[in-house]
Amino acid sequence: MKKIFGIALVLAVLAVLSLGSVALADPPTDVTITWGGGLVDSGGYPTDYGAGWVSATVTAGDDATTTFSTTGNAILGQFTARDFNDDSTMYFVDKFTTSFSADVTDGYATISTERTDFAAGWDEAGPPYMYGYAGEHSYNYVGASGGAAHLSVGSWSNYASMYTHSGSLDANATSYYIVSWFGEDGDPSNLIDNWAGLIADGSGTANIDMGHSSASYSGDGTVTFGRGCGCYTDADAHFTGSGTFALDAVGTTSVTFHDLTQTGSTGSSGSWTGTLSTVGNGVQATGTGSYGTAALHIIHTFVSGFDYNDYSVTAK
Amino acid sequence: MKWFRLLSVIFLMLAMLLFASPAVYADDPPDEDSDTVIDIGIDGELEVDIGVRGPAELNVGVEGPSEVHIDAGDEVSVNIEASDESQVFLDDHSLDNPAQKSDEPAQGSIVPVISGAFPAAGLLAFFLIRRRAQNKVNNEGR
Repeated sequence: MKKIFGIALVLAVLAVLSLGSVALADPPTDVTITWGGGLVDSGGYPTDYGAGWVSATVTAGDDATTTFSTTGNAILGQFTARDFNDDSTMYFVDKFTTSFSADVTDGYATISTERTDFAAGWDEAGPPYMYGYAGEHSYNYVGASGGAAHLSVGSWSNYASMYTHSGSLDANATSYYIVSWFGEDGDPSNLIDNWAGLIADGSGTANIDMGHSSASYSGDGTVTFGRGCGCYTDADAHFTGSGTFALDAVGTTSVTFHDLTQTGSTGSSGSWTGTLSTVGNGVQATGTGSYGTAALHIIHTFVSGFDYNDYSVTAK
Repeated sequence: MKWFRLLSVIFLMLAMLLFASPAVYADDPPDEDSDTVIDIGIDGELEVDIGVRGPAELNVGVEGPSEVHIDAGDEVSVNIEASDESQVFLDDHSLDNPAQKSDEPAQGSIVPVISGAFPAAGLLAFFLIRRRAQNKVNNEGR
């Protein structure tokens, strides 16, 4: 009899172990892609250039997706992504992170990332939303002709929101073109689509720091561009040579350019939608609560350098 | 005798439960949120290193004379389409003709072996105990 109970005990333990494995979530999925001429440093980062084209799309279930592409006469870089497969908060949305760094000569690098799911069970019934709705997305592009360019940026998303961080857009070329924007798109029922972004083109050097850009956790549609997470704004742009720098944003209740202070502009023009007012060193357009009733646009032209120390934007 | 019948039923139920467990480790995870798909395209004269760990489907297309190294974990399903002039290495094993190796999954998964051992052990124990119980009943009846 003791022997039987011994066998039963062993089998019970095996059963518990086996059933336990059923309950565990899948492990995270990690992706690392490096490209270049073949040489890497001790950390695995490429140190010499190759010529060609690399593109990748990572689809993290129905939770998020990111796509990058880069090509040029000389390119190197690294991309990493992690699909946490956690769904740890039972909102049926996994955490997803990316990082991207690319250098190109006579070519371009671009990456876009979108949070494609939202908190099921909480926000399925429609607005007002407790968390951010699906569709928050970021886009960054840098291209150079007759010179080199660099793009780096990271992203983070989960059941509630998405943000980007640690970014820079740089160029040193006869001709360059730079685009960066962040928006939340998502909800066709109330047409919230607040977004903010910049476009720069010119000849010479461009160094643009991209601070933390994010969509609100609270689901109210607030988008911040380079504004930081409430404590640290890092949104400065510095140029030599000639070119243009444009800042745009569209909102529902208000759009704020937090600081208009700049040096080097030889001409500027702007436009707005809504009621215009000054806020500190910046300007704000107030809307009526319908998408598109608050908007700001400004463009600077420069011929011998341009500096903008805080281009951060909030669009609500 | 009641104890043996009860134990037999318990073991049978455990065996049935354990038989269902290998589905968790199928190539297509039952949880849609774990379904990670990675599509990569490469062209030119590059050296590209690709590393993937965790459950995922990895699709790689290579044109031109690039050299591509793929380090994929056991839970990664790997599909490769590569031109003749490219060199593709999967888990340190050179593919002589990568174009003919498409849809070939990564090798070396031990998870199904482990998950299959539990139900096998459960069933074996069930039959052993059942046989022992029958023998005891037969002995008592003599």
